[in-house]
Amino acid sequence: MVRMIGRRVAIAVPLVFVVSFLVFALTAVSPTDPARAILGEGATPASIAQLRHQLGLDQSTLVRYGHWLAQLFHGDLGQSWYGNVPVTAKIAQGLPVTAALVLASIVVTAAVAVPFGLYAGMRPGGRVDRVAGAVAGFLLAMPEFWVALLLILLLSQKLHLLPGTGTTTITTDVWSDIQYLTIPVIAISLPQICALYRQTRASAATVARQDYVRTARAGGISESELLRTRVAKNALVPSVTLLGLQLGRMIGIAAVVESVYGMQGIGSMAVQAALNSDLPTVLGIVLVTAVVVMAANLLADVTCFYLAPKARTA
Amino acid sequence: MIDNVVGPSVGIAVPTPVGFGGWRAFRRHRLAVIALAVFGVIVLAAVLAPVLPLPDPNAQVLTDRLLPPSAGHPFGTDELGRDQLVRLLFATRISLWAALQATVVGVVLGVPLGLLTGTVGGRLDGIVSRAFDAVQSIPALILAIAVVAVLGRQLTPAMVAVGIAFAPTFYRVSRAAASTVAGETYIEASRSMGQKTIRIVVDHVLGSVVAALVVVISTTFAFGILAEAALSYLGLGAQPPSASLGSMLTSAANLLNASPQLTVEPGLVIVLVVLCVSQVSDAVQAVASAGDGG
Repeated sequence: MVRMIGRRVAIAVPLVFVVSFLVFALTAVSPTDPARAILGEGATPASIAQLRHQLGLDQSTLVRYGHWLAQLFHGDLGQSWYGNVPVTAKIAQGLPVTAALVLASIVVTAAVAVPFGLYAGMRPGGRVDRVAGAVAGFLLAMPEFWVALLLILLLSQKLHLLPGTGTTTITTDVWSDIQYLTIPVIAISLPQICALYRQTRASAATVARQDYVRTARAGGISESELLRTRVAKNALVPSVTLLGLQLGRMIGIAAVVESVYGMQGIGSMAVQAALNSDLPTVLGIVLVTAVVVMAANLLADVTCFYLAPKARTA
Repeated sequence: MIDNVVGPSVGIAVPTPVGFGGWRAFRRHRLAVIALAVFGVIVLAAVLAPVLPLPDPNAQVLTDRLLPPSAGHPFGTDELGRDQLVRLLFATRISLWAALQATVVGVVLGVPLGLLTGTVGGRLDGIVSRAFDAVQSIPALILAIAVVAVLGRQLTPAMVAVGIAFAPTFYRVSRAAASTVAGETYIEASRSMGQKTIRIVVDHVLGSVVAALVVVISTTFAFGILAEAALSYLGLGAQPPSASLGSMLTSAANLLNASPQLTVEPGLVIVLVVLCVSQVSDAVQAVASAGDGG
């Protein structure tokens, strides 16, 4: 296991560099001059030139990448082009909000999708299977932010049950955190629940057809014990892999849902930075996201390894 | 039963050649046939929209603002007095085009490389696969946001970014199919007869990957519709006055309480399009996996 993790990390580290270079290379092809964008229409050529020098934009891309990389080793992602705040400080501010949102969504997704998926997969063609299959297909087609808008309309503006917009600092008041997170978490989770349900159902159905399951059934084992001892572990391997991938998707979707709901996470921060062409902030968020996604996939692989040691591949 | 369903992007669909019996098997999925027909009508309407005798989707009639549905305006009007139905039609046009762009980028980047490295293997396979792994670690929407930050607010670069984010899925599916086929004896035979790699890929490998690709293509297209909506909603995609399904939701969201139908309608069009595409995709997958099992 340790060797497997070691090897995966050894692969992941160069990947982070590839990602960082790919993203940084994007800035080299940028047609917009950030100095001009920051100073606005009325800027003089002299002041633009001065700001370009200040931001290091008058150097070649490779020099700038080297500089950025050197800073990175000191845990420094550079300064935001707006407000002159360190990017790390901005991310540190938004990360807890996004983390709470995404982790809550992951927990909700797994808690709903896995039991339903296992149940339906053990009884293919049954009532739960048919109803859940149809509902899942429909819910998968809904844009998350649209669901968020409709939930705001229904739960907040019409029924006054939950706050309609707003962020929470994820620190003191747990009850208020839950209230603020409910709508965004539902919006983010719904399609992911459906995707995970389908995966779990499909693999449970495949496992349930195996000879050893039929043998156990013939021996008179109860369905719940069959599920617990024979089916669940094998059936959940693909689901865990999917859950790891879903974390990345959720971070992307969080950018939209956070913006709808007015939450100050790193997702809505990335959107604001994109609207302002604040490249250092966007770059920092992309890098942090990529590292988190790789870590999540690694965690998923380790879990799979634990669930089914036979699948020692990577 | 559809037991071999592989989630939208997890794992690798088992490649199965779709023979001439494919369409006949597909036709048995009644719902998917209806979905395909509805999708066809939507595409046709969207393509023909500019030549149909319709009012200008951007024509503002400020005296007719926020009208409820009527004979003249079946879906009512928006906050600038524009006909909602006509705007929906033109918005669907932009959204479909955007999703197509993302899908084409994914296919072009992922499929040829996947077929090549899957057939050839070796060091090239290792390098290219790692590069796609790196791309895979950036969520599609985050990559699109980054591209917009760099290139400015336009829909096409954003959708190209979405396509790039999906290229690894195309790559992995094509590569898996190619490497499976590459191990077969008849490929060895072709090679021993002096057939070139490219020829082998086109003659033998491409056909085996079609069913799996149709599924990835429709998944990507469906995600493209959803991604366009999200990006344009955020102001990062389609720019006014031209409407996309996402950008229509931006202005509608401000009138959520007063005129909820403006928010509901574009969303329903998105749901309809995505639903049609995914129904077709599910049926193709069912046909492919049934053909696999005999």
